[in-house]
Amino acid sequence: GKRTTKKKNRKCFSSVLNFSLMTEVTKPGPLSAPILTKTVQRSHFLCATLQVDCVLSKRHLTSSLIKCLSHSESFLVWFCSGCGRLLEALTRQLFEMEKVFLQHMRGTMVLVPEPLHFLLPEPNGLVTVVFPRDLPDKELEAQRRELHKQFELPDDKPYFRRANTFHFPNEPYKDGYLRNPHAVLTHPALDNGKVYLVQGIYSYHHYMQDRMDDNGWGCAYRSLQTICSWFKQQGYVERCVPTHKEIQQALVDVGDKQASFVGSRQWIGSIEVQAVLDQLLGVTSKIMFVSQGSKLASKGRELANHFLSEGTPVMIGGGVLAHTILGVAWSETTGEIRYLILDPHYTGAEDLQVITDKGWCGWKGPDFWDQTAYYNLCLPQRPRVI
Amino acid sequence: MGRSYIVEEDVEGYLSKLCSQLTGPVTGLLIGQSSVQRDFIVMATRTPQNESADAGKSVDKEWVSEHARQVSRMLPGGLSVLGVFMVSESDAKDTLTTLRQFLFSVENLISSEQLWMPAEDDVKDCVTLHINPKTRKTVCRTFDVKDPKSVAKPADWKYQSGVCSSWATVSCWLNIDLLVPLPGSITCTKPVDDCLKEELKVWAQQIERGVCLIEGKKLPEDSEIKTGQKKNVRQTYTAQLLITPDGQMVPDVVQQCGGSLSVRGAIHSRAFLHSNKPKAKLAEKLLKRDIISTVATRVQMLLEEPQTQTEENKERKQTEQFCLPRRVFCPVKATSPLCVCDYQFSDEGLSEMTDRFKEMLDIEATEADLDITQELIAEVIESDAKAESLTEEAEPPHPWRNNYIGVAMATAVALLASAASMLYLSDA
Repeated sequence: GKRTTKKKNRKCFSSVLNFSLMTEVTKPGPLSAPILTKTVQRSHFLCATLQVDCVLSKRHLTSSLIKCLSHSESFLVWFCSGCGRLLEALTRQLFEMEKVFLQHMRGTMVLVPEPLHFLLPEPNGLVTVVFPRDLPDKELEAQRRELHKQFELPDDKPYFRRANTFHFPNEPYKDGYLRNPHAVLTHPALDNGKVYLVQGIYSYHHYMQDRMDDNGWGCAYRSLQTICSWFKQQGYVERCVPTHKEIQQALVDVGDKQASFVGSRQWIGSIEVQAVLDQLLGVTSKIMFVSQGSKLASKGRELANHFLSEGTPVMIGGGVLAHTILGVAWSETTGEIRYLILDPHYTGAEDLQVITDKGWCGWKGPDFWDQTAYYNLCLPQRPRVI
Repeated sequence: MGRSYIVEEDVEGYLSKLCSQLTGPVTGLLIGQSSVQRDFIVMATRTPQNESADAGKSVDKEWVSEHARQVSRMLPGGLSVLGVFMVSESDAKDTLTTLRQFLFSVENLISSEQLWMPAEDDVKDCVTLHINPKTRKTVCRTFDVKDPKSVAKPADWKYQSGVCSSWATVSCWLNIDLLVPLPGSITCTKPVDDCLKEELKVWAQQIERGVCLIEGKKLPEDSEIKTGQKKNVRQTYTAQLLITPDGQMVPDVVQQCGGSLSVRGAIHSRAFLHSNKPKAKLAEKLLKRDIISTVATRVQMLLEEPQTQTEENKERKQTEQFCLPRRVFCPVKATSPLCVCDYQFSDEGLSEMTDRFKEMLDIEATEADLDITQELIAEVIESDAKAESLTEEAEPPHPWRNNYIGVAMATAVALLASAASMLYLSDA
């Protein structure tokens, strides 16, 4: 399908201006020559680098004025007032850092604060929070609870876990995996239809990655990896995405497989995926059984509900193949349905263009499924925690 | 194809005078500026008499080098010791060997003191000049002082009038604010020197990385500085320096210390460029080097002063303050923008300055010639001096000026993009 630019609700993040704060060390003179002061006093010396990082979005500024100016004039107005606002934000952030410093200081042990940006649902938008840098998520639950209250957020989504810090569009990911390749696709417009998608960020895992040649047998493993990546990146788990061996070992550990399973090239299915998610991530999943591929077309409502309430990627296995379902486009009235599929059988490089052009990540119709084979779907459930 | 030295006419007169003095061999230094195409010599100064040496004994390498080191401290940005000369009747070949030795010794000593990093495009050649006072024959050779095995290369030596006239000046006043913790257990000054020198090195790197604006603008590297002034009008430019913290994350540390050392105040920095069309990149390089040198020199001078070293325990003072010497300028010639400089301690008078200019640089200056207006004598205050603001904002309030000792503020976002408008306007 044709690729378009970002969806409307992402437009405000498509342009990011990065600023660097500099200190002018020169001044008009003449000035006094330097003095060297030596103070002898038993004391403690603290040297810490405070990373100050402020974000302003355009919506923070009055838009009524901007509407009456030409495009370049409005840019200048926005820019100048933006700089002033940015400095205000800097001052506030330093105040907050001071607070966090003093709050967590024990004798001579200090915790250095750091600013983190989180994208909250409207009307909050992008907010910046200061946390002590070296404290793990589990020790900050009280702070998160307070923030949830402050921003009036529900108590069942981990908005303020570190993994959920906002990722700026121009920042690359260090691990090299593609994130949310589906974001560049044009979604189908069905009559009275709506699009229901995975919520949040996942990485695309597929054949041949990590120097693991699993061509022909590893598709379900890769789908499982994609699902695990979702749980990590939404902050539900800290555990890294498991390798094929770790997945196999987990199945041996729960008694599902013999010890010889580890290191083999045996396929796994949705039941195994469910077991591993439980064993390694503590995540429960629902299994949906479909007796014939043709009947998948009638599962529109259930899949739509899944993406609305859980928002997790779905693993589907049947016939001899496993895939990941990232979303559905479904019309309640006509029953028309399309499936957003992430195909783990891809063996090429992390090339977004190829992956989307060739449909390795793409919208498929009901005829994508083997109409006579039976399918099992594993629908991971999102833990209700902060 | 050797180097070409364009020499101020007055230097010819000066060397001639030395020739006619007939008091045995005379050595000295040649001062000016090197560029890729040609070199300019603006003054020459003879090595002062070494009263402690035996009369008649030939001038030794250490003495010449020490003189060069002191002279080097008296040269603002853009001017440096470019070579050595000797007026003697001895054989040219022997003289060349001696001069070569002097040259390398001088250059090694001077460069061992400098805190700034040498650049790829620095000229590495220095000159030796030999004049036979009887025949007035002049032999001019250059050596690559970074190559210990380098051989003499012939060079042109041409006198010209007005070499001291067409120079552009770039200057600024710069705030310095350093804080160094002192080690915990001891109070002797030796580690103090080292602590301070370490901190100066870090500060010097920060200065070198800083963004330099000339007349309020950041100019592309190869462009020229222009202010729309007419050609013959004296060209002076004001520079500004903006610094960002180090990109590398220095590990956070909490340590016990026995106190602190702080250097606070301002310096006046100046650099000269020879050209009708001075290049922005060169101006920035020379100014930064001058900034680093002037601070390093003064700290060094202060540490060498006896009063900072002795621990006269009248009573153990909690806080001691020492003034760094202030910079005083002296013109090279009445018609020239070029100046040399020296440093005046608070207990010295202007007559001591003029004496030093005479002794080191052989310049006859009166007290009236000296420019003492660039820096004010620091006043030692009893209570902690209020921190000088480093930023120009007129916003109320600025809470971070309440200093937490040692807390450094750093930001970690990328540089302001000049193409910022492109990014934004495309979001239509």
